[in-house]
Amino acid sequence: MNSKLLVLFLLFSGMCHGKVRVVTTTTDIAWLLSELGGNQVQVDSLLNGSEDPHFIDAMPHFISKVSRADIFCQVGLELELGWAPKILKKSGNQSVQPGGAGFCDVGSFIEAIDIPKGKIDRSGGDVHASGNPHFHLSPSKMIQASNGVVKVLTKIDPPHKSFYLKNHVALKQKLNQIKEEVSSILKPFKKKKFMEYHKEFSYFMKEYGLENEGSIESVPGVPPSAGRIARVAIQAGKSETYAAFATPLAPKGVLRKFTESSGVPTLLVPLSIMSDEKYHNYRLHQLHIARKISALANYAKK
Amino acid sequence: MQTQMLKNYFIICLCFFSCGMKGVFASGLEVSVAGDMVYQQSLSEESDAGDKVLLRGAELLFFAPTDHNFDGVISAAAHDEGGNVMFEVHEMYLASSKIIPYSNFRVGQFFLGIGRLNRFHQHDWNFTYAPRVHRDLLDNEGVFDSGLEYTLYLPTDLPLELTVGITSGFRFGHAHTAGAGPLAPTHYARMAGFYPFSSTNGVQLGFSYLGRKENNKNRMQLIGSDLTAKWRDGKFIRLLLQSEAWFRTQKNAFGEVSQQAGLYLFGEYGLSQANSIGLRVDGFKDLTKENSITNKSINQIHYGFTGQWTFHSSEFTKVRATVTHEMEMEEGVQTIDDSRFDLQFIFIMGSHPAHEF
Repeated sequence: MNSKLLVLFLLFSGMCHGKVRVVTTTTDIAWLLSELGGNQVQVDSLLNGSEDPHFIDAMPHFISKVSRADIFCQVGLELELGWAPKILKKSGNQSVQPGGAGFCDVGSFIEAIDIPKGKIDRSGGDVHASGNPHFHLSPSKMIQASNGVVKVLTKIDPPHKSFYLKNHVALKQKLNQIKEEVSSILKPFKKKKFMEYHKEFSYFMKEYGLENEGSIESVPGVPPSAGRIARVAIQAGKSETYAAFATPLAPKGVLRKFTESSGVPTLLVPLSIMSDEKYHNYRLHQLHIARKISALANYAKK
Repeated sequence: MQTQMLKNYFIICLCFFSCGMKGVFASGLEVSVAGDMVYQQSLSEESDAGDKVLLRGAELLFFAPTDHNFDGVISAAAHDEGGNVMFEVHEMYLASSKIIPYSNFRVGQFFLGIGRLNRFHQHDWNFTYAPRVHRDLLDNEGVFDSGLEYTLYLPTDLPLELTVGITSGFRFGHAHTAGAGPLAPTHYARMAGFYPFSSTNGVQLGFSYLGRKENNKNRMQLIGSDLTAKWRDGKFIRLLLQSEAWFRTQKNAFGEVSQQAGLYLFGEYGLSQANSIGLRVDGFKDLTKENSITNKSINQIHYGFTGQWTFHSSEFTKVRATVTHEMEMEEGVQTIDDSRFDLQFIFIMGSHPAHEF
């Protein structure tokens, strides 16, 4: 009797484990995995898109989720350096540790920009030695990322290799379509000058041909001084900067002073896909940013 | 002997650097150096603040994977102890999270995984000095010993972790002697649960037990609880609540029992990314203190109040100004009145391991 129960339990356990369990750090990477994995994967993002992924604690419930994952995907390029290593180490899950088959460092699959040259130390603030980690706002970079991620998926789940490869082709088409759609909205803004509070929108500007006039911060990760705000505001005014990008987590007082001094409006847009908002997938998030820029032009005309 | 060992240790460190950092980092070796300085200013006659700058601690930490299964950690610290600088190895252990599923373990010398403060290095604490309950029951900096510790993360939706450990028990707390073999080694356990409010906010509650029996038949048992709750607002912690309560009972060979209990409550509010203010309230009571003549128990209690302001230049550089008032009452008479001002400077160079919740 007991052995029959054991067989039933094992069968049931096997059925429950049908899908590949993927844990990602951010919602953007979670979307990428969902598109590639379709109904063969169960994707769970540790963050929901409202946080600053640089500044997170190694939350115990993250450890619990990662301990049961088949694949762990992080943005990489040192974005999660302050918390992801601790989660991985404490998870007791060998396969998702760096170097393991289930460890997926998405940033390592792309050609990063803003790689610092010369001496790198903390006097430069939160410098990412391997390059700017906010590549997800560029569909082209997401295609590069998907080329690596699909290899991790097929390695972990070889029986569904053809399924993942088919999804990969479809995903690349989808990302190219999104790029075209957003490009058409942003066509009037090509060559216009934009700034950013932190270097979070550099890939977006590069992707769509918006001219990057630099960031309001002088030291990455450190709120700018009053003097810096004044100087950068003068620079923005002189160069006829069209707008400055910032996320809702940027210090509001700094943005207000910048706009008052320069006359340049700030565009507050979420950095990531947000699971519980109107822009809950990649296309809607990209369109949301493009429409914000477009709406600013309409407002200016009035 | 120990000083000689540490001299050798520092020579090895220097060799690493002189070999060229590229070679070192190719092996995954990371090095962290933490400095902790405190300027003490007495504000009352009975204060034991020295009115001087104290180089409280310089800690060297090395950590790296040793192979595909294990990670190695070695830390050594130099402390000012009554004007003399003492070097000592704090931690030296081999750990793995890759061998037993949902688990990790470490073997060697380490700070015991009980309570809250005892699990963190002093320079990572949210306040300058340990509260009275910690100073008396778990020492100024914490209890470390050599042995084995195992942590199991229960694969439940509500995260639960169970830590159990057994260590030599030759000594307990801060000591520069080898100690003596115990009748029962130090053994301990901590069960902790976590409830997330969101992806960045949550509360953790832990319960700890520790026991040991010295070779002179003195027996000690410690039970405690710890609570940590954090609310993060973007780049900084908007609100931190932290508390520990401990109860110790000791029984000697003659059957005499002494009991102490205490707690602290700490709250810190982040005004911005760079500034936070905090308040700590401490309480400690010796439940069995007796008048040596009448043999009647004394009505005794210790209070402490600490207000602080911290400037967070970054995660790696902090300046903290603290005003503390501690007092002890016995039979309604104030026996200790210690008021002081401290200015603490903490800085971390090199890599620093990611922090836990």
